[in-house]
Amino acid sequence: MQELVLNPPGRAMGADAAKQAERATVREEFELRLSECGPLAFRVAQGVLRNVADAEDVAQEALLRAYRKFHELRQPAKFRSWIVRISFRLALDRWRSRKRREIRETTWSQPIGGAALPSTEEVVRSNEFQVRLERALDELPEKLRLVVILAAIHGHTLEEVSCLLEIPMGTVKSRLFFARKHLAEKLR
Amino acid sequence: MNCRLAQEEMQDAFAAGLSVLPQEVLAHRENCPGCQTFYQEEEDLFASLDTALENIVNQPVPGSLLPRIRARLEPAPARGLFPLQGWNWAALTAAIVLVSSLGFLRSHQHPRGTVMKPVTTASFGASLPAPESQRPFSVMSRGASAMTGPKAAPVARARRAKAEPGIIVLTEEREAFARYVAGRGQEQVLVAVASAGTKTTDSDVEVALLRVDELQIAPLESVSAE
Repeated sequence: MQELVLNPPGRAMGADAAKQAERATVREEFELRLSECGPLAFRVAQGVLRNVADAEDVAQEALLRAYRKFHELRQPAKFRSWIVRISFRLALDRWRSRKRREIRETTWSQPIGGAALPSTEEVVRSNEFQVRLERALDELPEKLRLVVILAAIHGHTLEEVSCLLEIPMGTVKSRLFFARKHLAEKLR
Repeated sequence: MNCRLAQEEMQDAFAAGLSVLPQEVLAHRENCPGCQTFYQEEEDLFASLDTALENIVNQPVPGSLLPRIRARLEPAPARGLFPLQGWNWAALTAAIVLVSSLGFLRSHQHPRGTVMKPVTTASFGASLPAPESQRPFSVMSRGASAMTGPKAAPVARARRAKAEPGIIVLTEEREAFARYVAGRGQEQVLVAVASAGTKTTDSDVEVALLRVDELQIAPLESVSAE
């Protein structure tokens, strides 16, 4: 015997409305954080890439990825550290691909055995200290590099860096110490 | 304390961001002009380093960043909104593969010795008024014979690869041909239509080629003349 079940016509509409409301809530929550975390993502990427256009692209990609997974975030308080990690990873990926491209192009364009010529950007920049600092930054291990970048952002204290990276304060201090020492050695 | 140890202490203090040096190092620096110079150089170096790092990181945020992100937030996913999750993807993929395979096999497999279906869109005999006593002839758009038995399969296979042409049949042609075939009373007709075109005087007229295996076909002009 078949059982006939009649659904009230409003039920389907209600489910759709609930989904839309949930979607709107997710978006509102995300937009609340966007104004704060957008610049943070940009600055982390800028610290790695040192190119505004690239950093903007990476920050955008990082925030969109975060938005797609926003509903999976169990602890909303950790959104900032999440964004920092995503931005840093994406920036490193782009930085590595840029390095590979530069090496490839240099290999093709340079005569065998020739000395490395400064890039166009380096010539335009005409700032030896800046160039040396950037090279030294690129040589830093990832963990040290991220600490240096975060500590250099205006308004970030060591406690803030510790919270963002979810590591103890002592670890932040030691990483910052070794990073600055390494950079100073390269700049002397 | 010698100069080497004092200078190492100074470097470590600057690297650690300490503003105050240990008492021993301070005492040594007061009495050592070389270490005073070193201290000044290190202080300048770390100040430059900090300034340069801040300049790199604290670039003004492009005004287009947030609007661009907001513009791309429109297709927002929410919890449980996406209908396919987990094993549903595998089921969907399997279904697509199955349907594709069936379609492929069906389009490439004709059993040996079976009669191919006439294609009605290309059929000359679609409006043929066949007598009751006679079997209706089959018109094969691919030019294959309507024969049955082992002979039919090689012919069908040989012609299968050929592209099926688009066919335009004029009404008077179809009627004349139907009358002709009905009058001859043959059972099997093979028709191969290569192409058909409109009658134009300016350009070359495309001819609808008819090939009938078991009939003696008179020229179309004579049929039309009837």
